[in-house]
Amino acid sequence: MTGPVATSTTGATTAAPAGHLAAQARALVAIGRQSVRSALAVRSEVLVSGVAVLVRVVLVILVWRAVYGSTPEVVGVDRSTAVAYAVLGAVFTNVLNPFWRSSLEVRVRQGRIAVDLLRPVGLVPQTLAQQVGTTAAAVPRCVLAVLLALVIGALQAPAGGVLGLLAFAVSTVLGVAVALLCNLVVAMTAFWTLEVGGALMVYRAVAQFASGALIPLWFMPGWLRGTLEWLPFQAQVFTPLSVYFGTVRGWDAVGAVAVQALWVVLLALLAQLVWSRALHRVVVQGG
Amino acid sequence: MIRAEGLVKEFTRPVRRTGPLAGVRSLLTRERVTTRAVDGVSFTVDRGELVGYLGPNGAGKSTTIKMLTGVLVPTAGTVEVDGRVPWRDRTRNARGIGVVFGQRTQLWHDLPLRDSFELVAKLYGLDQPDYQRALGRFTELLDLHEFLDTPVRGLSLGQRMRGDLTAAMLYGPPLLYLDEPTVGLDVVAKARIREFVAETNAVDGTTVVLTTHDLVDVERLCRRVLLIDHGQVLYDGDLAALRRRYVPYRDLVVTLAREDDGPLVAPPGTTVVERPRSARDTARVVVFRFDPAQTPTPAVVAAVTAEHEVVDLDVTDPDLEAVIAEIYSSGRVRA
Amino acid sequence: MAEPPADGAAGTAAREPWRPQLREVSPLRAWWVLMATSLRVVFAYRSNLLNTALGSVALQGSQLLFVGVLLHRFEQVGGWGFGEVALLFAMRLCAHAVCTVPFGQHSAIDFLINEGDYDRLLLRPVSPFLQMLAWRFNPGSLGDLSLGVVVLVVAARLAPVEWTAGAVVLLVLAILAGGLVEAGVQFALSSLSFRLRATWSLKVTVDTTFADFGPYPLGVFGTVGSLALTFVLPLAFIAYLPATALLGRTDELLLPAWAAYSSLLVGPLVFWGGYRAFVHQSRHYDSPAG
Ligand SMILES: Nc1ncnc2c1ncn2[C@@H]1O[C@H](COP(=O)(O)OP(=O)(O)OP(=O)(O)O)[C@@H](O)[C@H]1O
Ligand SMILES: [Mg+2]
Repeated sequence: MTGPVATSTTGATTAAPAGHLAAQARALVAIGRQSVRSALAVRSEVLVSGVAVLVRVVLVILVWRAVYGSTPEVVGVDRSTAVAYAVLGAVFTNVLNPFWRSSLEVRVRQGRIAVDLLRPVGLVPQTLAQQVGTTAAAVPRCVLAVLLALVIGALQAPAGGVLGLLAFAVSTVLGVAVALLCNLVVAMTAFWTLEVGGALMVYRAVAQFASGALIPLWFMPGWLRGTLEWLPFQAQVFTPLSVYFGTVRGWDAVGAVAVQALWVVLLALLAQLVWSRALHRVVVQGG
Repeated sequence: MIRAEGLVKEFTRPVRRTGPLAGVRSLLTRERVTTRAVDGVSFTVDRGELVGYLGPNGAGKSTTIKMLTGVLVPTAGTVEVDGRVPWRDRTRNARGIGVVFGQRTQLWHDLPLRDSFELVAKLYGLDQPDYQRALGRFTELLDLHEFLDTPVRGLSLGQRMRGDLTAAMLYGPPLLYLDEPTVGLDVVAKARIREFVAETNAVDGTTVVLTTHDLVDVERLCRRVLLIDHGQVLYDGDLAALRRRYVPYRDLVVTLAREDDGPLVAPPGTTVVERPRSARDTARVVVFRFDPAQTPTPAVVAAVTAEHEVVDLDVTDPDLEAVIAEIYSSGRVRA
Repeated sequence: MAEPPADGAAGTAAREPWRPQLREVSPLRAWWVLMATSLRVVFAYRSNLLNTALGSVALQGSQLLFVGVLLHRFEQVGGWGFGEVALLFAMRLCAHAVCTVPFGQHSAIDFLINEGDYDRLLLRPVSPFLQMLAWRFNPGSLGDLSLGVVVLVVAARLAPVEWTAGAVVLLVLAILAGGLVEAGVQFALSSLSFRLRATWSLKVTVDTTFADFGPYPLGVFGTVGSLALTFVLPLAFIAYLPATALLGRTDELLLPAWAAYSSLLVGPLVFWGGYRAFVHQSRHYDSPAG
């Protein structure tokens, strides 16, 4: 991992300010690519995670079909929508695997953070680039899973034609951004306590449930849904999927996407704030 | 005590590809490379011996030790330790050996040294009075007082090594394997460990197999050495004999009292070797080289001092380091 | 340069040779000695203990919440009502705790192999398998256990079961056997680490599959799915089969009714098989250089 990063590093320190940005961008791309590569490094792992998402998709289809039984519709949601939602929910969970821990926490724990801080690229961009890389590595298997679901008729094209697809794409990107930023903020608690394992597990559980990745917010009791709508988690999964199924459309969809964008901004600011605190702490306490 | 015959260990691992689409290509192929780390090694070690197992980096020393200790199953060949096959009869074997890997501790990170020892005592079935006796003895010998209650992760390298040695000897194993026990230690710490090993060998009669890159360890401790490279034995025998094979001479280094002492007279059986004058020399230094088997050292000293006025003299053995360096770089031992 | 070999013996000539008598140590005792130490270390860091246990509770709890919401809307799943699913869920979770509390350290195997710490286990006169199980103690498993017990107590009241002495014995035995099934499967997967180096994602996949699809009556997965989750991935033996016996639902099985009790036998068998696989594969361990 040090290879490509280190070479860009030397480039960056000697370059002029204009070239500096380009060098930083190159370094970030290198980091991202490296984490794609390391995610794909062990063959058995790649095969297993590929099979795993396919199996999960099949199992959730079976469960939701059985849950509906012969009932055509529950709280206005029909069977095929519920099944398709479950499929995409499983796929999103897989892509957003950074529901798992980010590399940041591990690096802080192992004291490697000092080396990272010496690089001319900020630590936050480094971490994000890594997470984007890991996320990208999950895309091929998720495409496979979606294709499988389409073939066995558990999933239909998004509502609203090309425009709907476009809206879904935008909303998905924003959803991923919200998830990555949330992970980042949570991972940065590692600067305060080395015992973040438990906190990360709680976060992961809450995120998975509250994002609507397990079960759509539609089915939740009113009070619960009302609460969850005020949290950033639903912007990770539930919003993109609502756009996909056309349960929010037109101006409502624009509004939902705007809320996502707002979360991105808020979380980015929060991350910045937490980071400056963390940096202060690292500098003062020497890591 | 140890009998190894035709020991072979091969490691196999998938080929790592580079270049475009490297990831995808290595996913699709099943190509594997095999390295032969140990390639037909045979030797025996008798009870009470202290053998130096030497070789350049990557020669296969650690791999051999791992086979002798039962960590690795040999690819081919046989090994017997005290009549047992280590990997097959691993638990029995483990009770009779002490092992120290200088590069990797076997103590428990989170526990104070004392607790680690206690755990070892319990796992090996050492009675409490015996344990107390042993602890007292080793604490004395290796001077562990200061850090007995420090968690292992807080120990310096030298302290940790002494802890590891104690843990390996606590239950009095008749056989001790040491893989680079002095790596990274300061002069004093090294000396202490050497002394401990020598004593264990002499007093307890512990058989010791020692791997090291520090030739002072070898000179101080080993009469017999086993040299290996590329997994094959290059030399097995007396260290002194090996040295004689390479440099069958000894040097008498003489510092003359006067700069101009007339023509040099080399006594019979010696030759004068020019030594470039170094900045350190305050007076003229002359080296007389002779074969101690032909001309006894006292005779040479007497002859030289009779001819010249001398302020200092020193008899040096040939440099083991130079011998080993030549063997490593040529990859073989002179006949 | 050449000094004579150090004769440390001179200074301590009085010392007697050190050759103590060693007692035999039973594997069980050795395991307990190591496990007690691991527990001591874990309980020394109390905040981490609580923290991690809480994390596990949250993780399993989110699944409980999911099933709860589902039943709140749909009232039944695969013909099973709230109380029945709750019992199934609780049995699965308790079985999971039976697996993770004493045997959870199989999850350390990738680390042990790749970092070479497995060497240490091989150098001690104790089965490396037992040493692995006592390597560290995962406080998260206590979270599994506490949540499992709480849910079980509640579910036992909700479920339409007459809790005779026989039923209680069956429940306890079934939970133990279920834990053994899960542990055996994880041991078998762990054994692959000796060749594949990394089985972490495989084990996590199986673990989450058990956790996420364990609370449903097997019928929901259809014929092929049920058979696969019985004979390929033995999920059915962990809780479902004995649960049908307790709930008097053995008529919905694809197998004869006595199969509902089979997990009591299958549990120990899978456990033993997983252990043997581990021992067998461990011959392929090639200690990393250095
Ligand atoms: N687990 C392994 N997988 C692959 N190759 C290995 C493995 N262990 C050792 N090797 C290779 O086997 C050879 C011998 O290694 P070994 O560790 O025995 O050398 P050594 O003599 O102890 O060297 P050093 O003096 O550097 O410690 C090396 O080429 C090493 O790369
Ligand atoms: Mg070595």
